[in-house]
Amino acid sequence: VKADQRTLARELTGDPDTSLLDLVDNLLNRGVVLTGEVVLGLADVDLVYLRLSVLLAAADRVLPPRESG
Amino acid sequence: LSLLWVYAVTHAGAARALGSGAVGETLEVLDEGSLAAIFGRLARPPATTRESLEGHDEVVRRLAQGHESVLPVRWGQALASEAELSAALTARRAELCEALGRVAGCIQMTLRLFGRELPVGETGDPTGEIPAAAVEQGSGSEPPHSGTGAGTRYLSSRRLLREQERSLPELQSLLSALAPLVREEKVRRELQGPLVGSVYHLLVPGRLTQYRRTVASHRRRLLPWRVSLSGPAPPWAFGPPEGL
Repeated sequence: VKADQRTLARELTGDPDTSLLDLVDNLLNRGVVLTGEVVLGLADVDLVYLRLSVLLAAADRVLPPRESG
Repeated sequence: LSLLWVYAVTHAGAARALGSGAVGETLEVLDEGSLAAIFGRLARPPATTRESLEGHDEVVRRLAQGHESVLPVRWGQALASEAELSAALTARRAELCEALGRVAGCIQMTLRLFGRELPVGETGDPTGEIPAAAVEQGSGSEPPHSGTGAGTRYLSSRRLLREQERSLPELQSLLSALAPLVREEKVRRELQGPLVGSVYHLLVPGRLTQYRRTVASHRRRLLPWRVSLSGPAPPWAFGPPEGL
């Protein structure tokens, strides 16, 4: 297990190719969500966070469907 | 200091070598039953900038290096007190423990498929949102029931759409070749835009070299689709199901 852990550590530190797309997808659209409500009432930037979260997580779902034909 | 900014969840008693958080705050651990949350105390949430996201990502990567099993917590998860954090962990205990077991010792690799968006007339879906290939080669599900009630047809179409959102038949040959190497796979098709979809793979680091070689060997065969590969990363996509 220790050898595997060392390998894991090496891989995670070894020149990760983290694009802005990965950052946005991973940090705003993925990951464990413990609660989605507490941040809302804490500070002035919270509205920014909420707006970004909704747009980045669901923009392709909230846009109106295109007309066919 | 008014909020707890959470970076990761791990097993109770496992947290170690925590260091500092994204804005230099001391990282702390809160144990709740068999779970532990790693967090920092902040006066206010960080501004929503690329630098903030990168800072959060760096902390999660460092925590993943030092722990056998870590679930990254999405940016923006802040709680008002230890009591609220404990309650959040308690409420999700079963699914968090199950997810920690699945990601133990693993890394995440991400494939992204880019290509032109098909014109409406080329799609096989009346909404024009799903490429014809996805309809023809999709998950093998039953077609929507025709000739039944409107409610049944609506629910059937919703089910088919949902299945198509988790299918990338354009990548089938590559995904089949990678299947023996990965522990778990999640697929997400985008409904529009040049990003056709993403595939998230959970694998042990020992398979990474072969995984990369397999992807490289398939690039030309996949033309005109373009495939990008990123990682390794902590297992962002393998926490409890989305939407919770």
